[in-house]
Amino acid sequence: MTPKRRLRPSELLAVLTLTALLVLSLLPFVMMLLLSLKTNADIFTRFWGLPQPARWDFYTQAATALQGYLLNTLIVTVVVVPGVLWLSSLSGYALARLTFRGRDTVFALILALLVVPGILTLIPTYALVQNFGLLNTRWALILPYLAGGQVLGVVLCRTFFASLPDELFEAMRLDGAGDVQIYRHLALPLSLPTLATIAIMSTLGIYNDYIWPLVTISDSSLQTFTVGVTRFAGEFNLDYGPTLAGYVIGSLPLIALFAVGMRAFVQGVTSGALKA
Amino acid sequence: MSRRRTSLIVIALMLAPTLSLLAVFNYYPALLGLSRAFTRWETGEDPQWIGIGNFVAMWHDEFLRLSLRNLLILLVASVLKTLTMPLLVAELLMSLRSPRWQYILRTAFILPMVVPGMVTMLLWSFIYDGSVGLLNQALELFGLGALARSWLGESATALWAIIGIGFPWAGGLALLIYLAGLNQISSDVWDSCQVDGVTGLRRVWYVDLPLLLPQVRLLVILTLIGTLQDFGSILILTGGGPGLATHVPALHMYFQAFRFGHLGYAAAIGLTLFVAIFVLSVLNLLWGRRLEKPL
Repeated sequence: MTPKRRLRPSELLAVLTLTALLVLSLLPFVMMLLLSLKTNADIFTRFWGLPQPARWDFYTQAATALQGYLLNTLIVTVVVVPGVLWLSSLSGYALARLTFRGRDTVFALILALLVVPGILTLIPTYALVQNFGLLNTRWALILPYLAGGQVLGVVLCRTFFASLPDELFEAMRLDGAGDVQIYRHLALPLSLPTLATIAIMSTLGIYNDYIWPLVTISDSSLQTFTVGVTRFAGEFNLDYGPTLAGYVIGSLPLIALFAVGMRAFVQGVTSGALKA
Repeated sequence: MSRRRTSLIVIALMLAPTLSLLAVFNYYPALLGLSRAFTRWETGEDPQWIGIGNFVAMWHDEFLRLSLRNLLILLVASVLKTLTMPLLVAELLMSLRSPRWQYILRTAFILPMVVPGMVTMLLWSFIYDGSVGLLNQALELFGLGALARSWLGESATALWAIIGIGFPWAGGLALLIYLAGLNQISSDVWDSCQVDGVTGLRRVWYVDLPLLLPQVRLLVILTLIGTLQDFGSILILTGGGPGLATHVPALHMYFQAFRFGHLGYAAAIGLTLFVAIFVLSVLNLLWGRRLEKPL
């Protein structure tokens, strides 16, 4: 037990400032939850009051309108993220633990892609996908995401595999293991935290991307959540309740993702950031 | 050498999927972006080489000039936001003596990161709504109802409303990076500050900030790159309007390409923004080099 002690004035000031800032930061989200249960009439007359009665059916309405978009995002994510993990870990392993001529050049070329911004490649990639006849298909999303997600993926995997002690690999080699076995049974299991970071970052990137699906997908039955939700707001004729309920529903997948992987994400972001 | 060499075929097989995907969807578009900027290229037509024609046209583009002014304001504002509030919160969190409260408050501050970016944008568009927006309601609550307006709908306020998004700009990635940086500062440093009577703001200014320079450098460049490229949120919130009040170059590029079909001209704007990002990144790197030189 720590002895009870009084807050010093400076500490009290810190706590008060933090609390005030926290209230301001979270207020929009609290109001989103509160107003999502209210009818327009209830909002117009008693904006700050509790919902009377709480319209939970707004959530069913919103879920019905959004489920197609959410499913599309899910399909793309489920195809892309495992692919990114698999391919980046294979390449990362080859670039970190195997010796061959031109290895450093290949890695430098991949690193160089980190500084190529999306703004430069948006229009050419669009023209490319158009030439392939892939506009308005899921491939228009899957292939570029699979390629783009690997840039950071390969860099993180290679850095991680290179940091592992040589003795581990030597020991397995002496036991007669080949590269495929070493990759499967040594490198891959050890890299799970790195892979989790890559998985979260790729999922976030796909979930939050707006411009690419906006320009490549015109059929709303293939459209992803982030574009879909902007159209969905118009469907309820300015009924704020169901619209805000939809925003809450659309946030749930990422909340679930963070609930599982927050620790990995925070570690990945902060440690990766310091190396940059 | 005891190390057994892996056969080249295995290596090629491991790298082939990655490299072929990157070649098609990353390297090729990047090179195309460089070369097509020098062509007259309209949707559905073949590109024709016109040298620096697009860049000359950009120089005379009145819309682009106006959008540049908005971009500069946004860049300054975004850097100021990153350098102030998250740092203040990080310092205040570090000053708390209870690790448990530190953890709880830290988690609460980064909670908004969990909300999808688009939802946050749409939510802010609701906050600024002219009829029942949260901001107008709050003003009314404090008897300032006369100030209520459609914040994104009037040219006088639209750009400032966009800057205001995320107020009080306290959490997010910047907070995480500052906290990571402050945690790296050895407790000996702060102990000796305490002994020498260097406390509060003086310690933050003379001790913490110099030690946090790598983090500051990283955040400044990330913010600049992000702001230069971002047009999705403006497209959603105002479409660049009213008039040209919130128009920015990246949005101009988007409209030129996807509304008017001037792909070549848009590619030239894209290339210019890339060059700007590249120059800023190099300057940032040089700043880092200079700091690392021994005194």
